[in-house]
Amino acid sequence: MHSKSVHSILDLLALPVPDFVAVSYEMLLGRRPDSQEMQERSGVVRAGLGRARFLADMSRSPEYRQVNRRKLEESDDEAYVADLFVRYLERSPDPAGLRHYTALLRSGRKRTRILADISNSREARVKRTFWFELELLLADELADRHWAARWIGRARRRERQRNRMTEVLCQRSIVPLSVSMGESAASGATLRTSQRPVVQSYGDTRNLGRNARRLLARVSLLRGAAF
Amino acid sequence: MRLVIDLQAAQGPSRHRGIGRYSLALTRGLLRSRGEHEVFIALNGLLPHTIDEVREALAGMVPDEHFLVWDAPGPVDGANPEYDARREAAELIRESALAALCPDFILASSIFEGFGENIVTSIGRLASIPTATVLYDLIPLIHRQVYLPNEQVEKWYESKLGHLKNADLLLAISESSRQEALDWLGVGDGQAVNISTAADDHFSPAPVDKNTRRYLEKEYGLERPFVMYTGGIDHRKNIEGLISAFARLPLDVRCAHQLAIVCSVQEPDRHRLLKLAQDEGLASGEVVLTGFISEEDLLACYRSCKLFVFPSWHEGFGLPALEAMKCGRAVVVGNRSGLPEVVGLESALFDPFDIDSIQAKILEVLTDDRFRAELERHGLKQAGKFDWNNTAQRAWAALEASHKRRTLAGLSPATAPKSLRRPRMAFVAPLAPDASGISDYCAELLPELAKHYRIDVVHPRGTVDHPWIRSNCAVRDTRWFRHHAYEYDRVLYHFGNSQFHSHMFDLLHDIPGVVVLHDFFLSGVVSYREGSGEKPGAWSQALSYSHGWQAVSRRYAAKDPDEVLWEYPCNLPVLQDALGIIVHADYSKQLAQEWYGSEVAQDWQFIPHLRQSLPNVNRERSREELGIPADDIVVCSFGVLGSSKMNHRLIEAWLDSPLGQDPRCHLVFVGQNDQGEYGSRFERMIRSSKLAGRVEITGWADHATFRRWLDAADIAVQLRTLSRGETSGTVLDCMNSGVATIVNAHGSMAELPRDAVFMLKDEFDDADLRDALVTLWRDQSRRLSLGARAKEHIKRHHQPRQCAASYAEAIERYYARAASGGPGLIRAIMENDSAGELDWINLSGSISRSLPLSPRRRRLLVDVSVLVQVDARSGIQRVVRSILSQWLAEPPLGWMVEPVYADLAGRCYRYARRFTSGFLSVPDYWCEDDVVETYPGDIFVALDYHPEILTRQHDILQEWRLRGIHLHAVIYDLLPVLLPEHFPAGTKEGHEGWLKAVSQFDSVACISRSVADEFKDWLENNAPERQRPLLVNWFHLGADTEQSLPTKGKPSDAEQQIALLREGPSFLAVGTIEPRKGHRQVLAAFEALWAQGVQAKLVIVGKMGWQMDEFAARLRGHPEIGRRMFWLESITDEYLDDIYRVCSCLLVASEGEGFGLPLVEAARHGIPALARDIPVFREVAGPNAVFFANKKDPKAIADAVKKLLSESANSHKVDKTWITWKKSSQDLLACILQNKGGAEDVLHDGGIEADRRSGFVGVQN
Repeated sequence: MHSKSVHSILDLLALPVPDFVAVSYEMLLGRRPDSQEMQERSGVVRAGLGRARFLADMSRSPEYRQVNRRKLEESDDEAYVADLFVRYLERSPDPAGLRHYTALLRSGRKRTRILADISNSREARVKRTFWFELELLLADELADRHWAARWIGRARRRERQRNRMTEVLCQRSIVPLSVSMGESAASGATLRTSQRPVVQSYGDTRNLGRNARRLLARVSLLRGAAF
Repeated sequence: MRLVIDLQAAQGPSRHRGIGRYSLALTRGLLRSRGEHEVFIALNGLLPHTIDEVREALAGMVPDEHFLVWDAPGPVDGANPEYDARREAAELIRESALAALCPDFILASSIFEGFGENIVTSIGRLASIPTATVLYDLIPLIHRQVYLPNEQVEKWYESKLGHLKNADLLLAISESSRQEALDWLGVGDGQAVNISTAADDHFSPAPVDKNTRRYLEKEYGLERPFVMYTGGIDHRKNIEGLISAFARLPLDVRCAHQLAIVCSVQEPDRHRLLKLAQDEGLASGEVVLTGFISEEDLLACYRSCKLFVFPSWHEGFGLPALEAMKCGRAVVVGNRSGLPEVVGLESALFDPFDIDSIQAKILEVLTDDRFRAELERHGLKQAGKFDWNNTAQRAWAALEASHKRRTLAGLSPATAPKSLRRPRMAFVAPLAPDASGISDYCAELLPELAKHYRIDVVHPRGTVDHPWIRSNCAVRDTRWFRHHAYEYDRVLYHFGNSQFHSHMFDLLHDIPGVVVLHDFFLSGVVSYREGSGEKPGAWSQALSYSHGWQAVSRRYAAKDPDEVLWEYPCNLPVLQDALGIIVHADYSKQLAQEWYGSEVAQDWQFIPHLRQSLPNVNRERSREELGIPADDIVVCSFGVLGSSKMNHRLIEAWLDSPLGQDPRCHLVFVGQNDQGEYGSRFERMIRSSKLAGRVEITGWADHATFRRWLDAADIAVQLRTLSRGETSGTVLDCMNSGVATIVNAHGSMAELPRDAVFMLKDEFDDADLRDALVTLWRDQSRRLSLGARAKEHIKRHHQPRQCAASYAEAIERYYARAASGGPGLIRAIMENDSAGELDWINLSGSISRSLPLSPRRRRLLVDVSVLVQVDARSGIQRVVRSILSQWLAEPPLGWMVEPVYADLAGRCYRYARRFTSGFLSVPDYWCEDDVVETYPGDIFVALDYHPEILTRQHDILQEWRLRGIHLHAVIYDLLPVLLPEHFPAGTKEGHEGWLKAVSQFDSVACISRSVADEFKDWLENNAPERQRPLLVNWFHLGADTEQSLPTKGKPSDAEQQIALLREGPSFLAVGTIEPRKGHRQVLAAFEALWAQGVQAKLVIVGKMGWQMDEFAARLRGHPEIGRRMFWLESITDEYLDDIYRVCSCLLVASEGEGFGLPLVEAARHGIPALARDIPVFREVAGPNAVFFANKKDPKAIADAVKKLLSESANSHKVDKTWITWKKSSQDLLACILQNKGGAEDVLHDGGIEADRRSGFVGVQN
């Protein structure tokens, strides 16, 4: 699953085109694109649609709305709140919090209100999870489309969009995707600790098969615990 | 006993001499005298260039699957301290890979290797498997100041010495080196055994002819009788002493002889030794330093020397002395270390530290002819004592003795003393309130298992509704568990086929553990994962991974996908991820062997289902509560109803029996009715019968009600059909409460003891069941005794405490094994890598290659690199499509067929899953073109042709081949090489490169015998150097176009065209317009015929190729076009079929073809052919064709056409039999599998048989 290695919106925006498309589908629609969609959507990104615009388009699609509506309507209250917590606070709800929100829901408060409450909470603003950032990005992007809102705060938005793309570029040059570990080992060089690339960067593992990836998953689980 | 021989010594720089040669000779000796023992050979993948050589040296002695090639990231040589972390990782990988073969003993051919090269040796770093090593000598340890000059060498040697001390058995090459081990390593007497050594057989006495003498004189300056020494320049070899001693010989003796130092010598040494000779007063030419000489010359030197002197003061054995003795020469040696036992004669010894002693001995031999003759005689006799077979037998005897000692002492890791503290266990299972039988089971197991482990339970909710568990175990959710998995010593997963297990797949993938497989089929939960959105595509992925493409197409072809649920178990990933498997019925093992091969499941642990013995049954009270009179007969069937439980059969038998007539008999189904069609039909059946009141379905019964019915029942009937290896707990419940139980011998129920249940046949008929009911109804005492025995059986075999003890035993055994397997290896490498220097991405690749998955299916990896990118619809691609579709539809028994393609940028191969989905017309949302990992036993088939791709992937394929992946190529033709003028520039070079690449494969299949012959000719002149034989075979192509996905459609004027052609005799030429096809000659012939007034039409079918633009223009502007000459460019297969039907003869003028498919197609349509007389057309068309001479003159064709037209139509009977693609693909498969032991039936075409005998083309260096 590609989506596992995406922890922030920058991670997503920095992916190679086909991966960006695939992961966007996985994260927003909960499924993988079929080959035709893949080809077509990768094509429009390559043609210069803009990645933010791509995500905004997707967020306005009937499918995305349906997926979201299902989330909003179908699960029970506890599960819904727990899901919001994980999304925006990266943790499961504390008992008090859970009680508070489910009580509100039972008293008739709309789910969208709860969503707004949690996603705008102080904690969420500090943690800035993937979903938090995504919504920020979508808000910027969609604001530009609205005839009236277009001019309000436009300069600040533009600046933010620009800066975001700069960050993406920086990120790509920091994570040395092209300097794969394989090459350096093949040339016989021993990697010094200081120049050691990030082991779990996305690009490096793509040429590994299933068995090797499983080993790596087991290693990173142990390693995550050990360090 | 299973012995794994680590043959790295035969891969190192000294592989052609000394230790390398000893290791190979010893291995061959061990193989010859192995008897009942199994021998595996382990080789190092970091030295790829040496692997073929070793394999070839052992060819015919070791089966392919007994070679293990392990791999680690390099370089790792001991001289470089920067490689330490990597070398240690490599040592661990090597040990783990060897341990995976489950050896009883490992034999390390040499431990002191790898200072300057990528050789990795260690003992007992990861796995404490009994290890023997050959001990040559301990010279560096004994003469430290000379041989361990610097810190790095010393550190390296000391570390190897540390490993050597871990060895269980030292096989010393001489008594003296054995003594060194006793004195210097402090090993026990029985731990070091002298197995001695031997010299190669080609060392033998023979007279030396004049030519050889002259040659030695000319080449090395040996003009007088000479004293010889060989064996390297080294301090301890004491060459200086020898030169000084020679110099002190009396002048007359000295002048009559020379001293020959026969070995490679570095320039500084040469200067030093020559200077010494000069200082000692020797003239030039009196001492000869030959430098490195060939094996042949060495033998000549041995045979022609007058005396062989070996003045070394320390040798492990002293092989040169033995070799000289075998050549019948007089040998004198120093009286130290291993040499005296080699020579075995007091009078042949001297003191190597005393120059005069050496001098005196040399003088004695050179001047005393009788003494010399005696030494020669003695030498030959003594040399006879040293023999490889003796050495091998001694080695086996020592290994056997040591193995026996260990077995007796019970030192295997399984019985190693246990820690007093119970290990901590994570118990991953569905638990109450999950409505699953497995959660009840676990609740019963846990209290007993807690005696062996400190248990935390892991559940997705993080809460459990069971008093004992809540009070005695910590309950963790899966997220917490993921972050704390490393805190647990043991993990136990309970897998079953319901949604309560869906979270376990990903957990097991990341966190290894022992698996209890309650259901063999996991298809239900896997499809639930897909359907619920938890893991999109999970079901198709599991179908493809566990069962191949056939299963995937079956899923999408089935009207009701649920049918497919019960066809495929989908459990392979779980079996591979598990550290060990526990099952509740032997039936699961049987199923595993049916699905994945007979090797599987041998180490699976069978543990009976557990049942707490029930306190005394209170029948009366239960009956009272249920409102049933005490004397009535109650027949029950327990468990959820369904067609697989055959409830309807029970009703039918019941109605048919006297029980149905008796108002005091009751039939009760205790359990929920089926929710589907079966359930409603069943309910109607009950209601419509006139006895409605006495047949009842209770609906879902809680624990107490269930228990009440068990108490109240007189007879229980538990029937099963279509079982998929799941364990039935309800039968055990019935038996446990002492009810007389009728079962049928189906699935795991067949394993129940016959005296404790009433067992019907698996496929019983209604009368059997009725009789059983009546018997038990009538015979109360039989009912009671059957029930009592059942209760007793449960008490004895299903007692929870005993079962839990079996659990602990099995779990500990699996974890002991895992300590040297993947999980233990990862932990060990991580412990070493505290500095975080290691490249885990490379490492994980190496580990996955060194520790293959198990169980796994053998795979046919079919290369479709071109087809994936573009379907050029060329002839070759038609073959690829046809064969691929046949193989996908009917894979050979025991094999999976996986199309793959080259990823040039990624330098790997990928599974062509998206392509194959399209090819089979199934959706592709579920699949990913993952990187191919190969394992020994897989076969790669280069079915598609693309010269550049294959040559660029050459390195990858060769790496595969060395690891035991069989490479196979299909050769379509050699035309670009044989007729280069007919192809665009560069084609020949490309094709040659491709041929060179495939001639490094294991086998090739050509599409006709003619191509095979051409290829063999080509090999003779052009083949690159090979170590192993290449198998050349051939097969024929199919002709049923409908199997190769033919194109459809006809142009609007098709009917007119066909009518025109039908009118007169028409000749059809099919093939791309390119120079080789002979179109120019054909057109010229027909122009001549038309000029002579012959009425014949010419139809050319084929699209424009290359180098024929001018010809195409001529055709288009030809006066006869549309009248007597037709050119149909790019037409569909369907249209071509019609054209074949109306033409009277096929004309094949091509100057060269690989096969000539049109000839077969013509035969299929029943029309004769006129073909050029070349071998391939004779082979393919046989009697169906008339041939014209292979000349470029148009007259050759014109004459043949005229002759053909003059003969009557009936004179050319066409044999309409042709081979189908099905047959063709089977033939190719037979070529591929014949030496892999996979195909059951390889006898078909006589051609293949005949060729198999002559087909070995062994091209040695």
